[in-house]
Amino acid sequence: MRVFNRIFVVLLLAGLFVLGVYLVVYAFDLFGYSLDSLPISDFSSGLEEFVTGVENSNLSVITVTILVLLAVVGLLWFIAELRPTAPRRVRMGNGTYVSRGVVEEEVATVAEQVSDVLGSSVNVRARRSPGALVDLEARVRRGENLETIKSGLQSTVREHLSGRGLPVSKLNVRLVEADPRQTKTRVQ
Amino acid sequence: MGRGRYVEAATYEGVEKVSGVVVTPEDLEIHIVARYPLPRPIPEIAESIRERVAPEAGGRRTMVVVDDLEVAEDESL
Repeated sequence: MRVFNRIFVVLLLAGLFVLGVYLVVYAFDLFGYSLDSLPISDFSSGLEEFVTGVENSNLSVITVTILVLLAVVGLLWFIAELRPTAPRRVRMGNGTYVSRGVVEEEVATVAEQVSDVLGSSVNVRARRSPGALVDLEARVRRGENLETIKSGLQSTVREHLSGRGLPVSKLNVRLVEADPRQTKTRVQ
Repeated sequence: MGRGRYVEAATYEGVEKVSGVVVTPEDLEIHIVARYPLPRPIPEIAESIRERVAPEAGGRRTMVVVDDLEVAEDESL
């Protein structure tokens, strides 16, 4: 959300700046522009109609739909802002952490030592409680017994990580059948 | 000592810079790089460092962060 907020605020401020420049130009009749030439009358009459419609509870279906959508988006945004940000490091114990990169490297190294695995990609997420959420995608040859490889890979990775003392709360293994010519390793 | 992954982990005191340690009024972060072969599991190594440093931290919350693992160079080569 931080990046989104920053982009949003930058765009908002840029828009306000442009509007401010226009306002100065029109307010002081610069470059031949004047406030009289602005088509404000259409806008003000439209606004007046909208307010009258709200007062009389006589809005069109499209307007009500747009307003409901805006309210839902605002609510979702509000909830997203209230949610605490995900931690960057994997918690091991009380006051001890390990970077996600370390867990990723360990998982990738041990996964690629398994004979049926030709390549892998790992994504590690941290949680507030101890243990990492690991998503491992392993590439294997076509026609292999995927269930056997998957269970073997899961147990190998878990054993290796527990030997290192790296806590894993969830390990998702996904096998992808791939062409050996396009993987990191062709033959194991 | 580790240097942090995304932001440099260091403390500046005058012209001196101490890498791998971040000291704030409330927290103390120690960034380390563990070296293979590991004598003990990683959490134990980190915990032993924390136990040693915490009493000297002046009441700050002490955290040990393992930034990286590296393979020790073979000195016989």
